Amino acid sequence: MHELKKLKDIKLSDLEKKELFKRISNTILKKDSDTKLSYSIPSPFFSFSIRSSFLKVGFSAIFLLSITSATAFASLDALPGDVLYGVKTNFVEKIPNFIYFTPESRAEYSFKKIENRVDEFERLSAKGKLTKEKTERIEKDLNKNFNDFDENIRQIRERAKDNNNINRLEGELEVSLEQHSEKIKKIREKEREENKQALESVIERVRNRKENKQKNEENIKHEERNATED
Amino acid sequence: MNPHLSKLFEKAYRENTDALFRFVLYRVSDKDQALDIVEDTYLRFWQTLQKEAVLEPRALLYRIARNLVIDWYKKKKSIPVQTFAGENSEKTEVFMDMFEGNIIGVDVKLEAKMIIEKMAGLEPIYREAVYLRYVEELSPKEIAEILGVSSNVISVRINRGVSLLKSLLHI
Repeated sequence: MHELKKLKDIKLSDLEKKELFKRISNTILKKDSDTKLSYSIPSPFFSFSIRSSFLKVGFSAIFLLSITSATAFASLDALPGDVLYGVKTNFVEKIPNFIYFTPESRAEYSFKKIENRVDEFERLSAKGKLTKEKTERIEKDLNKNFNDFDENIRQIRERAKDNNNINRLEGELEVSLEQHSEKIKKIREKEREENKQALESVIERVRNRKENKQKNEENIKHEERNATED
Repeated sequence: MNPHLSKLFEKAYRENTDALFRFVLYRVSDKDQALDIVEDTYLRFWQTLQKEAVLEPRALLYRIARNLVIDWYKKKKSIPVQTFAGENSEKTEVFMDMFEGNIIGVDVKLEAKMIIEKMAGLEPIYREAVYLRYVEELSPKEIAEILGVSSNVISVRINRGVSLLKSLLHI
């Protein structure tokens, strides 16, 4: 019976409908002069969009997506204190979590986020906008990123015992943090007293990692030496 | 004057004019006549709105239009009330002339022409039920309100009408 719907193509034009409405409203007005009736020809866009609820939903989705994407994009350069910084850390940076399924890829992404935090600290300092509150905010997010990184490293170690990959990731992080911590130390020297403790956790973590790595290497060498002697 | 009534009227006009025009045109096969009947339909609809609360504006509009078409047949043609335009080949041809000059494309026009001719082979009671159900996509309940019979009767008419139409269309 689908064919019968083709009869629906029989329609009045917009102009014909307007003319007909004029005739009707004139007759009504003759009897009741207080009545106000109006009929406007809808615009092509309006009539196109109103015909289908799917189209309405589609347009709304595109609109929302555009707004969301634009906001997300604008938030990429946001620093602590900016309105969009929350969008960046709580929304934009969490999106890739749905893409990265392996501990390796998640660890690499956590590493990237750690670098982002340190970069934010450096940019704020360069602009002279580093405050105690902003520093604390960065440290808080940074600790979260460090914990994520360590958790993923632990998972890699448990699942695959892939020491090469762990060494590579930890090594890259260490090199990166070493470079950043040097800069951070220099920034701290210039900063006011209240900011002297800024990013203490970064420096502390770098120091601890270095010490742990040295201990591990010494242990491994010691075990190898014992194995050779045996 | 109640502004709510004006809004209701305008909304009803926006949403139903094309369908009412088709509904009437299919029966009277004359564009000007169909426009006159649609105009009268809305004037009576307006009068009803002022007198009583209308819960189903669409059903009321169809009911008024249908009664006006029947009156028109009684007055002008002196032919039995249950006879409709599709049964008259001359009227169908007039309908087609208007149809060709209107808004639809060639393919649709040919298909629609065939459908109208085949629909003319149905008895009026089945044709009307099938038309309202499958062209205007009204529910059996709405059709029942328009035609003044029960929903069950309408469902039976639709089923029989579809079976007959399928055999006519060789589906």
